[in-house]
Amino acid sequence: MSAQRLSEWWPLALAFVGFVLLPALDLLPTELLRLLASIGTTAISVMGLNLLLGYTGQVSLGQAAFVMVGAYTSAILARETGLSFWLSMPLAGLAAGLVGLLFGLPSLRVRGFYLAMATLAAQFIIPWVIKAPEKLATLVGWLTLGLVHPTWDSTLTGGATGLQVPAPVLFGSTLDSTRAEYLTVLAVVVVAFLFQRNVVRTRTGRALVAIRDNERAAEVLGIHPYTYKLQAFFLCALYAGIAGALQAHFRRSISPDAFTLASSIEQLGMLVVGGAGYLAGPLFGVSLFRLMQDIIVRVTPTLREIVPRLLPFVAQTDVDTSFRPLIFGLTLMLFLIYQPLGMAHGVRQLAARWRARVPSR
Amino acid sequence: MSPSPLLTVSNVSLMFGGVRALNDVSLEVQPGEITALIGPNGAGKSSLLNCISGLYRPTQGSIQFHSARGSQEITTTPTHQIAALGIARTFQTPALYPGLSTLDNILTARHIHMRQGLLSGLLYVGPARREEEAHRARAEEILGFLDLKHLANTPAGALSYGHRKQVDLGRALALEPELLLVDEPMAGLHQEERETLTRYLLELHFGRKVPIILVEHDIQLVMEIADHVVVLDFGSKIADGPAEEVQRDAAVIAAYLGEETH
Ligand SMILES: Nc1ncnc2c1ncn2[C@@H]1O[C@H](COP(=O)(O)OP(=O)(O)O)[C@@H](O)[C@H]1O
Ligand SMILES: [Mg+2]
Repeated sequence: MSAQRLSEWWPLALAFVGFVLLPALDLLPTELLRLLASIGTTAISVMGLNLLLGYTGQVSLGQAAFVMVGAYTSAILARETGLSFWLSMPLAGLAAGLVGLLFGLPSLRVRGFYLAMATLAAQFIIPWVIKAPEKLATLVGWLTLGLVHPTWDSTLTGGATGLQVPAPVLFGSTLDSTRAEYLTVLAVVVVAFLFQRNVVRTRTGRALVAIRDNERAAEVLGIHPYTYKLQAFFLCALYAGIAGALQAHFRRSISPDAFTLASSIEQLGMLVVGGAGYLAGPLFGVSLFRLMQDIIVRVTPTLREIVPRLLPFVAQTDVDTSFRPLIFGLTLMLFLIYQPLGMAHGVRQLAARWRARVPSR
Repeated sequence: MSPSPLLTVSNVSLMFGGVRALNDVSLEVQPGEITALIGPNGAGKSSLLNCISGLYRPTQGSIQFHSARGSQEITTTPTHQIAALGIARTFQTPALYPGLSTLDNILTARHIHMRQGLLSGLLYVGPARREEEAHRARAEEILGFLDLKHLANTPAGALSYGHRKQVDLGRALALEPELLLVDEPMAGLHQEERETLTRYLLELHFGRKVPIILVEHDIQLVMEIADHVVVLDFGSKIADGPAEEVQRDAAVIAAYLGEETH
């Protein structure tokens, strides 16, 4: 019994030493911590996407726009009201969640490709509003028949330039080191992961999967698809908003051009490669893509010398611009062909095969 | 007829473009009875079940459900609300959630009996956890009743056809229905599986007094277990009465029984 306990706990203990103790004691290189923090931040957003696409079967092409809502909400709250990051972050999640809910409304009527097109609207409308908030203010004025006159203008959002964002403060000390960023992101990742797991394992999560797997059979058991699709959109965007707040306060600046459709699509790619509908999928997918990116950045200088010499029709700038998308596209294609259910599924298969080989205890 | 039916279908017609799937069908389901719905393929049996469970909307006519909580017209009630009233069903081709385990498929049917929402689900402490555990125990009980405990953690997508039909039935039971609609439970099953499933249906009926509308091709089985038989042919009702009576009906023999005795 105690031996079994031990064998269950040692991976957790090892993870604690590797992910918490070593970084906290400043024993890991800053570069590694920066990479891990970036993986964690993106993974939070992709976890949201996992709840929507992986568990509920609804597509969204607007995830980067919801990250943007979170980033700007938290930044503006901190700048305008001096609100603590620890409050502005959840509020940013909430704001993004509500905006996500709004853009999820088409899911009541359309699905698949058409839903993807409808959510694409977020990717155009949200940056447009943030670059020119006075237009939204005018719209609000009209809609309320002149009762409300918001005085928003581009000084609020920084227009096309963006904003500087204060670093989070904890117990009087400013968290502006990479180590502090890493540890904060880690804490949020752990909470986000546990929430994801809890949702998936309980009543709401079963309803989401029921809708994904067989919407009619879900209705026949008393599950209202609309309610749960909207909850999934809310959660998805909430996770995006949290990721956006983290990004804003630790990168220390945000600009409206950083939240692109390409980023939304890349997040979908990471989820599919990592394993949509698996709890660990987002972590796997984001890690793989970020590691690949790291390697690509390292080898590009060498390649831009060699490749044009071997293939005369390739220019050095081609290598700079095309190598990364080429590798990412290729990875996605290979996965879709050979492991369409993603890395998490592959790992699960390997684990099952391993257990079958070793006689059980 | 009887003073207090559980379900009243009144003059229901259902059109699909030019096809009249149901033609002015009326029937009553009495509490505690097994009502068999028989008829050749394409007669409109599944369509009628779909109308009752809200998946199809009758073009004409109305459907009334008289539950313990009062009478209610359900002709246009949304499907999920009909389920919440206590009408559960199985599908002709089992419609499980392949990505969920067998146990979770059953647990999903506890949805209407559970209260936890998004927030309590996220946190999963205290009442939410207790609720979850209580319903898990109920679902395991149902798996036990169907002798499926050993498959509790198997993804439904990996089950055999026969097991899927059983889980589909188990899921409908887990809703604790006041009325159970069963669409061809025996179709595609081996003799042995048929016997098992028949035993479950009878146990259900005699043990728990669940009223059932049973669509079934096995005429012998129908005559053995049904209290009441309704015969559909080309969307119209051609016979309706106690099993022995219907069996003697000439129209039924022509439309259905003749065809079935190969
Ligand atoms: N969704 C549908 N769309 C078009 N026609 C349908 C649909 N469902 C059933 N029908 C038609 O209605 C008739 C009755 O079908 P059905 O209710 O499935 O019969 P049964 O269950 O008695 O075999 C058939 O002619 C069938 O083709
Ligand atoms: Mg049928």
